[in-house]
Amino acid sequence: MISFEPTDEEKAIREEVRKLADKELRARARECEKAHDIPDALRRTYHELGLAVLDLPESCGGAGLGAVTRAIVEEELAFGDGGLAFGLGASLFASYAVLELGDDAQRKALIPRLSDPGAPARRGTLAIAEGDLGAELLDRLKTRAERAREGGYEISGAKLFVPDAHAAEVFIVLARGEGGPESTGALKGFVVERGAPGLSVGREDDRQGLNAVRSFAVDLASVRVPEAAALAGGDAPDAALRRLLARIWIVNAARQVGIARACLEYASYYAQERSAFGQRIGQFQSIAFKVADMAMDVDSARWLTWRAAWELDKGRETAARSAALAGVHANDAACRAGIEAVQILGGAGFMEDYPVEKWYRDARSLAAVGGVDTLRNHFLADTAYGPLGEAGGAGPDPSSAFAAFGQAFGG
Amino acid sequence: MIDFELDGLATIRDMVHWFAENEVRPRAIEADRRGGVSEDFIVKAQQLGLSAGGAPREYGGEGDGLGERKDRTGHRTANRLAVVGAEEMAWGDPAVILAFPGPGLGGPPVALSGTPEQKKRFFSVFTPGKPPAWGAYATTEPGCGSDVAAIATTCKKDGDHYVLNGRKCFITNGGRASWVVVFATIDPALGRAGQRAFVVERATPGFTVGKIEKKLGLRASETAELVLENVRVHKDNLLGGEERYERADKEGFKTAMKTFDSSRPMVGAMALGIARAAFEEARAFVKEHYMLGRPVVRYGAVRETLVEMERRIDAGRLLCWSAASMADAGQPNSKEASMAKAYCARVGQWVTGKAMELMGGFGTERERLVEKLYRDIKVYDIFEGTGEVQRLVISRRLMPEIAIR
Repeated sequence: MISFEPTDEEKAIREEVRKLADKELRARARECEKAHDIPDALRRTYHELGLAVLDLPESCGGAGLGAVTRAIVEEELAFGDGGLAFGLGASLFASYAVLELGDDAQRKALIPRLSDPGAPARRGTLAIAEGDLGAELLDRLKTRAERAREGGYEISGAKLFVPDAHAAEVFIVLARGEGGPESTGALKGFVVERGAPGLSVGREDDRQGLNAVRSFAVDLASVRVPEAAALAGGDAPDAALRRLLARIWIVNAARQVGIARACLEYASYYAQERSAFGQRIGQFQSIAFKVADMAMDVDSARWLTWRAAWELDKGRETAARSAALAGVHANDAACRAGIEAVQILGGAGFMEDYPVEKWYRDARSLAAVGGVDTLRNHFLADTAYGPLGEAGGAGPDPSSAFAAFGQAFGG
Repeated sequence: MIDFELDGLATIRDMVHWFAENEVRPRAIEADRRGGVSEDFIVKAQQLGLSAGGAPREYGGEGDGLGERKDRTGHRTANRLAVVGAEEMAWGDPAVILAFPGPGLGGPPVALSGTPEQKKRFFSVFTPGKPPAWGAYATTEPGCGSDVAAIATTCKKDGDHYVLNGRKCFITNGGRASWVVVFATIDPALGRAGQRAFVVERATPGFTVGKIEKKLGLRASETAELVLENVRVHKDNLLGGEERYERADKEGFKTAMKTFDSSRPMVGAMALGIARAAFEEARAFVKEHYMLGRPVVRYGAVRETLVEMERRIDAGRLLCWSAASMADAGQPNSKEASMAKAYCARVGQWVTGKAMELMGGFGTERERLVEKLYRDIKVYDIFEGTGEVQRLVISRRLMPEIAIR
């Protein structure tokens, strides 16, 4: 029966994370942004609270909770600071890739490594994006994994925006195996160890936001990996890929909800304190109505995110589609909340003495790297209405380059 | 536990949808043209027990009885049932469903504030087997709409009676109602504290129906003006009884506001049903029609508009569900109820507008549903508190330290 009430356990976790977000994340956001790094002590706290493994299986050292709990936690973290939520969770997506694409042995071997609380600097990263393509265009990925004559694979390609690439010990690289250039079916994850010959970390990104974590271009020049390094996606690789994307999109959507909520709360606070023309600015309807609209965006984005997470936990096929809808909505909500919060604070909103200019940048950056809306909309449309273009009727057209992804979405 | 499963509500939703699709939708355009619903259909709706708003089961009704079922946590389900059902009904046709017999918006104030005797007396007229009957709810006046605190209709105590004088307008089913919940004031200077809610019965001397409005949309629904000239109402018809007002302050105003907390999410859900109907019409149209040799749906801007419609409709639905869940759990939900209503009204206007746009000239044709839905939706951002009033309610809750007017 429809309910928006978290369990007592989820409420207790939320309370703990809220404290961390309040005391640590909000307080250290600027310092970490300037340093482009997160202090080890803060990473340790994150691990000690079990946040790295919250929604990973107990058999791999996780807490075995679901995507809904993860969404609740990520919103709170990002309410503290979106950049730090993103940075602290940089290994998380690599764990998700192993979880969804790997087999049991690979999960048990890799997930504890990727989330080892004893060595917070020893972390993994997930490399998907390439050249002129975002993560959504999986069917267009060019990085290739050829079978090597002496066994294993040889990977060649160039990846972009790889977080923590300077420090990560394990890279999970999404690459195309045999099976033709325009099929997601042949996509696999490959475990590449730091120091593998041919793997090089290139140019560092100079970014608009989310600067507590560094990201880089990564080159793979005939990098050799053993057979066991391939995360093949099990019996249903398309469904596994779909779940991986859903997990990532849900986490990023929840973070956007957190950023939007921070903007809403800060702007409402400020509008009650600041006076102009003889009254508090919040008393002007032009300000009050902005605040009301932000609140509707925040709540609706949260519910869409929870719905996607709930579907994923239930094993529903619709989870990826719902996650894409939630992601687009949350990006929209957070970017608008950032704009409105800066506007409500006026000149102060523009200054680094106040946090909203940072949230404005973080929201916009997360919308760019956490799932691109134009592409997600495109795929949502493809799934529902078939491919673009002139051919045939309104049904899916297998000749389209997008069809493979459409199929991956259950379309 | 967070849950998006309808469980038991799904069966009811499917039944309502079946009725909406097979009995309501086919009548929608004709009812809009003639400005009303045929008698035989009203009798049919009555026989099916589809009373608008629903009378509580213990008083002979059936509608709300379903909602008195409890969920696993022991909470009522009435509000969740109401939003799920309202969306389906409005999807069929938003105006026809307002003409259904039943207590309508008069139901909640009687159920929430009435004495057991009053509930029994007023709800008994809707007992199945009796002729179709309606209830109505009258706060709005020529001089006050969303500003419920400013009503000017007066009531003066005279022995065992109150004498009511004033005019009410835009009252749904006001002309045919067996009884109307009328809000009046003992003294306008007292503001909210002076408000009283009466149940005024049809044919009470001095209580007459004025103009029946001609409207932009919802034409099949009757909207009436009510005139009260020295109407003597017995104190037994003062909702909740006289003691209630002696005990506590602002009871009349609270009755009006409490009604909104459960009715606003439902009104939001109706707006959503309209939006969904328009979305589905437009979607079917663009799949079938060609432009420059290409199915319309194959143009990038068209399909992405459809995706955005779907997203906003889903977002609005979850806001309604959330506000209704809170009401069922007995949690204060004024902010959430206003958010659901304001958001869905805006989504509805946007979606119906876009639907017309996607259909081009065809969208404006009278025999197509979208033209009607585009007219129907507008009032959802006006009645039950305008979008502006909802935003005032929301912003006051978010900024409690300051007075926003």
